[in-house]
Amino acid sequence: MKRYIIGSLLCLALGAGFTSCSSEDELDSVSVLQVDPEIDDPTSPTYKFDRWVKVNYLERYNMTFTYRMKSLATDPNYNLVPADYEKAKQLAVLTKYLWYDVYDEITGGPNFLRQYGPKMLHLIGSSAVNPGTGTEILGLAEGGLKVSLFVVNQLNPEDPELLNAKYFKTMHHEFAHILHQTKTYPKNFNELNAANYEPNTWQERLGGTTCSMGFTSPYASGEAREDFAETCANYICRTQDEWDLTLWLAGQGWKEIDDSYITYRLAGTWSLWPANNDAVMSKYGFCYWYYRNDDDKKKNLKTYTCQFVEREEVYYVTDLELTCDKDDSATDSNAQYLDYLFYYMNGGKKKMKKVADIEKWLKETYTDKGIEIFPVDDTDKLDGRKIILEKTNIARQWYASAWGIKLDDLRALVHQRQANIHIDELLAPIEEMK
Amino acid sequence: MKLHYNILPASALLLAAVASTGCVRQEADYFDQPAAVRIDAARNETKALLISAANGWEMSYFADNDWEEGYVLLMKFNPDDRVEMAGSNAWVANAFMSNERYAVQRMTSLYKMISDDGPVLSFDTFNKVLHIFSEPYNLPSSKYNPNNVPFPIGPTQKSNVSGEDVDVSEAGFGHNGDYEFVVLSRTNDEILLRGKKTGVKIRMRRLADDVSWEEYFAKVNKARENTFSTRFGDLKMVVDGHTLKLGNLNSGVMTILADNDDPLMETVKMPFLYTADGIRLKEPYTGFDKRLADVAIQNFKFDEAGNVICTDKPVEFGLSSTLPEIFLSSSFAWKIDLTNATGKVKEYIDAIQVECAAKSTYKALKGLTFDYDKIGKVYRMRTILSGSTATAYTYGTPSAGEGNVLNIVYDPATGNSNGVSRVAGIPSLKALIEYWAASKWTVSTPSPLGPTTLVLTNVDDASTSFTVAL
Repeated sequence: MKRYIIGSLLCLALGAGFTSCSSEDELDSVSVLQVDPEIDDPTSPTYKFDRWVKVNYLERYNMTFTYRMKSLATDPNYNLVPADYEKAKQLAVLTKYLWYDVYDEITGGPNFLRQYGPKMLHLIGSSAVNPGTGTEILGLAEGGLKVSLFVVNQLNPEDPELLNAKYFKTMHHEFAHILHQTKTYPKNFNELNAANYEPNTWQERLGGTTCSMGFTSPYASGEAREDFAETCANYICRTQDEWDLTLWLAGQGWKEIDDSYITYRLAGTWSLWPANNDAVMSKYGFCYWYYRNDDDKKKNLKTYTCQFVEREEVYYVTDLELTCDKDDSATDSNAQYLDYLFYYMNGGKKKMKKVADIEKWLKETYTDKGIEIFPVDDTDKLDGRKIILEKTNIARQWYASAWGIKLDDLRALVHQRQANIHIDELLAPIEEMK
Repeated sequence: MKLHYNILPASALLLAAVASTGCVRQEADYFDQPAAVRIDAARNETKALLISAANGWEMSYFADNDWEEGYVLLMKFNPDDRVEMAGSNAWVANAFMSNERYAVQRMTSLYKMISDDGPVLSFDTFNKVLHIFSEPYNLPSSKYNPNNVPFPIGPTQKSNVSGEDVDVSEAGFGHNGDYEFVVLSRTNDEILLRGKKTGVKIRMRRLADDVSWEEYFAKVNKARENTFSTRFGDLKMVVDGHTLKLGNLNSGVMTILADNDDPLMETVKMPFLYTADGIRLKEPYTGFDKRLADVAIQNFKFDEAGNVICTDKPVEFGLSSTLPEIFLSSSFAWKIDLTNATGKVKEYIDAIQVECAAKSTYKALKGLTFDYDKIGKVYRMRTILSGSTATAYTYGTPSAGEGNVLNIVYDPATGNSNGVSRVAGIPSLKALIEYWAASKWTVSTPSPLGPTTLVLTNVDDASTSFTVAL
């Protein structure tokens, strides 16, 4: 399972200079700082795009949009690749459409982003993969000045879900960082889940479980400031269906089973690579269970169902069923599997992203057939749904009081634009540049 | 507070040291321009040089790992920052999702000469041909191929738990290849670069104007497929009095063992690549733990005879086994080419054909092959006739002589029953076997590093020879 990070670095500039050397020598007439000549050659293959960037970012917001990667502006500890030129153009227009234009419209002009927006947007083709944890950085806001947007080369304008999860959410997440680094958010936000942050092992948590603890994503459960940025970004960017699913997941208890043999069986049964399977995860979470028959009931062999899955930051639920022993394990007391193919494993290919679809499926598959199903006990003793709504409310009030922005208006505008992406139309102004 | 007492003297010392530092204003001007201006000039001159190659440059590219070969990439630089690149290898095929391993893939992206760690050539927008080697993701292998690429050839290793091959995760590293290069030196025809991140040295050579890129890669890939073969064992190289044993030559990462070094602990793994005219090692070979610093061999070229010649210094280069030893190897069956024998051997073969034609059960000689019967533990020559399906063997005791001399000793009177009767029934065959045994034969080959064909010439009569092939 991949885990994505969209983080921030607080940069501290230290000024040190107790002594200085005075000299009466005349300064050299030639500057040692050689500035790259501005690309202003109409015959250049990048001329139109560079002009468009200049007009729409530099002149309008006094910021640079850097699509030709500058390795000095990246963390040398990561192996990265530059952005593909055509993908960079696509992300440039999408960033303007879904971030800059939205704030312009909500705040009445470019001054808000001129004042508070980053001074540099830096595009990077790959994600930044941490070899130790396997986590991948998707975005980075550094000191309120620079925002790096990663995985540009995987951008697919035809896939709105992934656009939302990998790029638009990253933009709003990073901008939330920049805003709260300028005006801090209320500290009572940090208290809502203070005991549940796991800065080092958040990536091992399942999304369903973290929702039920009051976080909108596993990454949000790492530390409070990331939680705040995730709450803002997920509330702004997740569609109403996705947000409803988040709250539904938050209302469930979750049974987690961490067993690579399940993956092996799933992949083997379907003769597919794991990434292609809807149900395959590195850890399995279920929120309902039932007894398949009287024999199972006598032996207390529970069959878990309604599986949580996260794929590329998109959440859904599958119909995977897995029978476990009375200790909620897929193995017996001798650590042997209940049988060669598990005691029972079924489904996993039905994918449900709407709460209504899940509830309809539960009703038709179990309730209507007289099968009694039970919700998994919510053992974390936290009302995840209530906590998420409280956090969202704090963010809502902070946007209003600190920035004069109605968060729900911002969200509605983002949703309206997310649902109407016509990449060719967005790219057309580049080709029209003179 | 104790902490303050500890800090204050140290701070005072530091301040005193800083304050006492004077400015030396009498430094001589070693250069007539500031460093940045000089770097800027070098940057512009390098760009002009890159652009000046009308047909582009050949880049000998190595990523920073010891499990894969290097690759040649071709690059044509334009004044407007565009660079067209082409590659022809399995990883580039994966990047383009092509099932043709050696299809020449092209892509255009941007480059820039920047002033950084000196003049630096930066490929700053994505190009599949080059940046595939810098991606940070786990590489597809036979055990891990989520995107179903055509050539999942990333490394695997034996699991300590199951003993089965498992994927080696390169997550975070990928191939570990550079895409920004510090310019170390340049001439009109060659630019030496150093990977900014990994330090791997990369060479670029000007391509001749009249070479098509497709033809260039065809030569490279032909050399890659044909130069070395593991069928004939390790290669031997003698340089500066040291004997080097070269193995794994068809893997792209050769192993080099010097003199009496310990094979287990002191074998050097050396990635290398093929160009259209030779071979280049990832770095100069200097022995295990750099014990043979003076050896420093890196570049080889092909000559017309199929030899590999070191261009750095004189070396003897060949197979570890002699050609007679290869002829006598129990792994091979050699078939005589009946059409190109010369001298006495041709006369005998012609006579055999006449004698066979006179017998309806023989008709014609179809083949003569030499091999070793591992079960019966005997060298044998098989006579194949078009008029008979009987398997006929003549046994013998061929042996290697001095140098490349082979003794082709077979006994006309021993063999399986078919063999004995066949030799008896074809007098010229018996005479040929006796002629072989009475002479000594020098073995040579047109492909010294992959001798699938051997030429056997009578030591005393150069006009008599014949050819055997696998």
